[in-house]
Amino acid sequence: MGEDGIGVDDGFGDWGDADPSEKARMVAKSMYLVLNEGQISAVDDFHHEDLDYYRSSDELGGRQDLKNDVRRFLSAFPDLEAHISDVFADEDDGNTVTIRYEIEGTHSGTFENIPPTEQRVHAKGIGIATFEGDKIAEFTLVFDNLGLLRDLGLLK
Amino acid sequence: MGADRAVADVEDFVSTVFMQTMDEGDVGTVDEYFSESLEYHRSSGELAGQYELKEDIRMFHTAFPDLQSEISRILSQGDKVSFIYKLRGTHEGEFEGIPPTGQKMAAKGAAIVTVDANQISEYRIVFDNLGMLEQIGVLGD
Repeated sequence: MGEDGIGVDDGFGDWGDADPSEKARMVAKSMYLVLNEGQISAVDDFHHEDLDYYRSSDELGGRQDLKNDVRRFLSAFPDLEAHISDVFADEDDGNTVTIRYEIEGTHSGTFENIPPTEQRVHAKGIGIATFEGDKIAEFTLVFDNLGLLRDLGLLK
Repeated sequence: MGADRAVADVEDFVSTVFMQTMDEGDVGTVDEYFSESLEYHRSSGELAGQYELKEDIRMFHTAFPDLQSEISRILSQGDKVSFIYKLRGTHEGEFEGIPPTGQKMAAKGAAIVTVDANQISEYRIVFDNLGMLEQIGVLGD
């Protein structure tokens, strides 16, 4: 859809009602490049060096931890695809962005010491990114880890 | 806040409703502030309605009678509101067949809500169920 290349051609599907504002697009583009294209270096392009990265567990990590998490995920689910279902920026100043997505992939690599099961997994997540200038300074993620483990057949 | 109240500030409206339902466990507020045709998308992805939302609130309050919520980030665009929250409580009642362990838990969630005609018409959550179960001691690492 957009001239900057985010849209149907990049695998986002129909943007529908999604927010076309600059920062909403940046968050979507970052997720797409990193997860769908496997460009882990794009994390640096979109996130501050001193990023505060709050995982689902609320454990605080930094930019390197985000890259490590992505790397682990991509090696466990090499065909990983993230489908972005909604993205919008705060109306007040446009500096905070919510992204809702679903990941889909095949467990064909080791994941948290679990050998490949070749199971298909689907799991939802919601992230909130806060910008300082033109980069993300804080990223808080809530991801359905329980659903992921259930899909792997490890929990009932 | 009556049904004819204009939602002057959707963020205040949504955070008040959330705290009232979660902290007080007052399921009566669900009928008042959530639309009858509510689309409630659970963490699991399952689509449910008003009835299931009340069941979930009741279940949480039975399991964690001292349940308290805290909203750490909230933003909105038009009639859509998104927030990050944390639930804290002590596991003093049965939870999904798990007998009380007396363990304390603090688990994070994120929600996206749509407000329509002064009521919540869509409610989507992702909650760290895994973290909660690990903390009450029913799942190992």
